Amino acid sequence: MFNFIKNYMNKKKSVNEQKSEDKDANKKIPSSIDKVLNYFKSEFDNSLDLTIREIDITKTKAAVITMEGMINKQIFANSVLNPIVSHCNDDNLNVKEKYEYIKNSILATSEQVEVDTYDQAFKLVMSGFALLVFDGYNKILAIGVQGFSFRGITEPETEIMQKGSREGLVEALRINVTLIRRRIKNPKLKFEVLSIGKTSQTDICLCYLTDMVSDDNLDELKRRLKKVDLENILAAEFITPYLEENGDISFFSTIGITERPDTVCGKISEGRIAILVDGTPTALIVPYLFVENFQTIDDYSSRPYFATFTRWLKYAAFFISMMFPGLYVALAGFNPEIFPDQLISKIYYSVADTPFPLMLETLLIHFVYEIMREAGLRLPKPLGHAVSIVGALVIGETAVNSGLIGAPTLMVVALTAISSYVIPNLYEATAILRLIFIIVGGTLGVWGITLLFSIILVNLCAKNNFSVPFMSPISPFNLYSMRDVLIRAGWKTLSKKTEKIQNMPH
Amino acid sequence: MEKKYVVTTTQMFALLFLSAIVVGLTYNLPMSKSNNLQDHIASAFIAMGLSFVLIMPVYKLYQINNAMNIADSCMWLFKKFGIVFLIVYGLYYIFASCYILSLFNIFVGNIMSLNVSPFFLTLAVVVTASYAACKGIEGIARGGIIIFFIICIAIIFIVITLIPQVDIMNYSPLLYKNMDETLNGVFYILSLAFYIPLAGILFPFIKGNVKKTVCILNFSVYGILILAMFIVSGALGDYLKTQTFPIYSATSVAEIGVFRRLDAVYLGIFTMGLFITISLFLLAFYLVMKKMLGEKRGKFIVALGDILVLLISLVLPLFSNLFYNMKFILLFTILTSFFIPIILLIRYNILKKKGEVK
Repeated sequence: MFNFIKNYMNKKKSVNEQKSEDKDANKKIPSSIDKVLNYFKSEFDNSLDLTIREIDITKTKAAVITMEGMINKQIFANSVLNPIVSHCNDDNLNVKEKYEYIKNSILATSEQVEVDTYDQAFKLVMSGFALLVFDGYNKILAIGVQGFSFRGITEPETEIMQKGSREGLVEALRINVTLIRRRIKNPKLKFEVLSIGKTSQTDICLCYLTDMVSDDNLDELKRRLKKVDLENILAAEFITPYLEENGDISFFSTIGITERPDTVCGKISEGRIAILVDGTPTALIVPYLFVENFQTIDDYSSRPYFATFTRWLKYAAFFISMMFPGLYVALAGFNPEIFPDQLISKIYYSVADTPFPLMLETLLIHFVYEIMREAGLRLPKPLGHAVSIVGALVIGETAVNSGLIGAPTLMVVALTAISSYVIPNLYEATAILRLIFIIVGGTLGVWGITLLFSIILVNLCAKNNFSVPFMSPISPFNLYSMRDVLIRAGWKTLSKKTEKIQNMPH
Repeated sequence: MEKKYVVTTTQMFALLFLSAIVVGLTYNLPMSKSNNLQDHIASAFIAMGLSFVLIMPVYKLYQINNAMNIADSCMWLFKKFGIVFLIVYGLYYIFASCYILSLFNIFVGNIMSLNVSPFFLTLAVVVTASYAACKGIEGIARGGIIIFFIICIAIIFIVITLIPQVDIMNYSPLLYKNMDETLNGVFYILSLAFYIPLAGILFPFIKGNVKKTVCILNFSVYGILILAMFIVSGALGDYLKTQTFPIYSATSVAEIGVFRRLDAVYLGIFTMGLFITISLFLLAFYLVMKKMLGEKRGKFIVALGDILVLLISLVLPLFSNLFYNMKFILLFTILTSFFIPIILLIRYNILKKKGEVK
């Protein structure tokens, strides 16, 4: 009996050891090319895009492994395959010497990485590298021949600019890196690549200026990125919750998002860190301030007086888009006396002539508007116009004429809808808060509106991200920063001192 | 104990000013047993001087150890017997919240006569203020300074719109009848100096010159009260004698351009200030109770404070003889703002002489 247990334990131990050896073997590249190729084939399960080209280099078995569609075939043929086949003809070299000779004297590509583990090899081949494997040598040479097709550089649709660059970020990480590097030709600009996502192993790139960024912020960012435990990162927005403070429950995000490389450059030149995610044409920016939602790159191309004017328009539009319908419902329902006589009579008749209470009426129109907006987003462009006509004429005018909704309410909702597009970054927050303001205004009147406003204010003011108060430089207040908040001062004033984000008042 | 600098002097000034202003907005002539607001201008001047005396012990305690709030001082100097003082302070902060909230209820229910349930409104105020209190002094202070700015603009707006309504004939010579109304006014104003016990708990958070802040605060609070009384007396005249909330009544007659009855602006000021004030008192209650019950019971303390404020503010008007009694409020305020800090100072000096404290 004792022997049986002993044998069983030994057997179990040897199985575990075998497993552990296999695990190690999986990681290290063996010297046998057959084992390597078989492993690749089994791991990729003979996937369509795995391409293995076996070649003979002066009687040494070799193979080039690539992924279909990830490489530039012309570069691959001219810089890798042709030189190897036609120029490597010295029979006297051993495998290692051949490897070194090809690496140093034959190949005409600038990017070469030596790998000795499968993990590295998989990652590189799936990033567009060609892997050169030699029989009898336990290292693989990864050669940079990336050349996958990607969408061309176009103007970003959500951040259209009147003057200046028409370039927007694209899905390919390397192209985005180039777009940024072209604008900041400074060796202090650093791109640091990390890989996150258990399954997708998505490349993300941190961009920052080493002499401007706060080391604490950088360390904190890396610490937070390490905590990302998602299987797949298919868009930059997937990781935003991991970058925000713990327990940060709010409608407003403390992570900036932009599609413009010039905006990214502007932000990182103030000590911020941009995060580029492979496959996403947007950059995340940390730390981010609330007031930055109202700053667009266009402001800095316009004359200061006009930029100041548009900035104030944006502030007004924010309050209108968030609070105006709620305030209208509260005042018309609880404090109509504040309106001038002529206006109050119009509102009164409009409310009296419609079947629904004012709060319900406003909510209904908002729902209809949001449905039309959502439909307009998904529809092909030509049909979008039809939706606009249906929305404006059929639903809007007909509903008023039929007495279902009041004209003043429709006007309030229309003004709100237009205002909400003035600050597209805050659309999501304002759309939801608007509905809450309507409900609160309709049930608790002006008290409810002011209470909700106050609570939003405290929520915003209590937020910090990377130790920078989100509402800075308004609260905590910094007079000097007002040159780009309350007004947009001229470039001569703005360029006098570069403010680092980490130096914002705490 | 390490000092936590989280609030600037400007932010602290704004917070205490707001809490004082909210109490000022509920200024209630029947409670002061007087119907001549004009005589209260003299009262405010006297109260201003006395408020410097009242706040002195709190400030002295802060000077002795600027990392300790009044609750910490109680436990430091009296050990476990300090709990008695903590209970007094806890009750006071709850009472102050309930007093202001109940007046708000009376204002909504009786003066405005709107179709809003006072219960739901009180619940909304308590819930929102509780949320702010949970966010901590930093969040309240940063939000408070913006609210302070908005309120200042609103006050200036109301003053500008009321100035044309001022009739010089509405003014009568000061102390025309006798000193009684002025004295009642002094007691009433001092009884509403809720900001002094509040300062005792909030001072350790300040970064900057506290002495200067206290001086500016006292001058500003009473200065704005005097200005309000002066303009309201001139604008309303004898009509004032029948009004429970004179400042509200004044805003209801204000008009500018096509807009009439600016009481909606008053409501806005009142509610925003109320939100900040209640959140400060709830935070103060939390800090005191935390000292007594321990940090682990934080959530329980917040919930306890919310429930107490909600319930007491609703039932407080039923015991108006006691709780709306000026003498009771005055005694409670002076006890917490002056007498307890004085006792703490005396104790400190005794222990210092014995060499038991530094």
